[in-house]
Amino acid sequence: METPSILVVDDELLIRDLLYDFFNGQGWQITVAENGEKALEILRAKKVDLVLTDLRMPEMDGMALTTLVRESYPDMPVVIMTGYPSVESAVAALRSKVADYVTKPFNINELFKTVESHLTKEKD
Amino acid sequence: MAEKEEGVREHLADFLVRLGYAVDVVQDEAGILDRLVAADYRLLLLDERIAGRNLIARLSESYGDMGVIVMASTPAFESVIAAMRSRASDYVVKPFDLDEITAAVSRILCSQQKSPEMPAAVERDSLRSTKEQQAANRRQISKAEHGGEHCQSANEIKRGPIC
Repeated sequence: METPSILVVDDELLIRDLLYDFFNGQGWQITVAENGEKALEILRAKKVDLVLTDLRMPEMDGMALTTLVRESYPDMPVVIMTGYPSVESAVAALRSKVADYVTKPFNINELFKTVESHLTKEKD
Repeated sequence: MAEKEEGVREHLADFLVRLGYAVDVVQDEAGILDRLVAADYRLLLLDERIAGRNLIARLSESYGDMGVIVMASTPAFESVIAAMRSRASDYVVKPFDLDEITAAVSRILCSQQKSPEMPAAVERDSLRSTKEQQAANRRQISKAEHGGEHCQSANEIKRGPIC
């Protein structure tokens, strides 16, 4: 399997660092962005297999980012992370064809399995 | 449409038929599977109570081009996530706002029309029915509910979604 390349978008430095260290430790290519604008710049510049984004972020939130990602990269799997889960935001995510919705605090190993499963699905 | 409650089934089917959609109605999983073998469908409106045992995921595998709208009586976070992971197209909560259902149906059918794999419109001349036949089909619904049959009506799409 080719080394997966994922983009993590979160305004919290702690989460970005945690995910960078973990996925990097698994031998994956990981890029981090602190906001949606940066994420879109990265997507234009390099190949990314999956976007893992926080939901609540200032300026551009995770759903707005997902909408923009869908327009340019319709097959890109997007996984939402949030510390404020709700039925409404989960339904909005479903309608935007988000691949998965993970609540914080998360178990890093479970998050890894979730992300990996969606990369496998895309390859199928 | 697969719906357990007779009232919802008839009301929603009549509403969708009036909008110009072809609608077949079933009341359980066996009915869904029977109908899917017999005809092509672009959308399944699915009562969440029928969606057990990974039904949506199994349908996604076999009928990946067909949209699925999950209709829930009690919205629950876990059931929305399960629907998402099964690749359902939408999730609506009863009692419906008919505008919401109309918008959801239209949105999914329009997105399919934009997809090169899907036909621009469903042509089902063999299933064309008159108003009298529609009425007979509706009558069959209640007959089937008492007699144990699974499915009934089919009408040609007259207008379809406005995309």
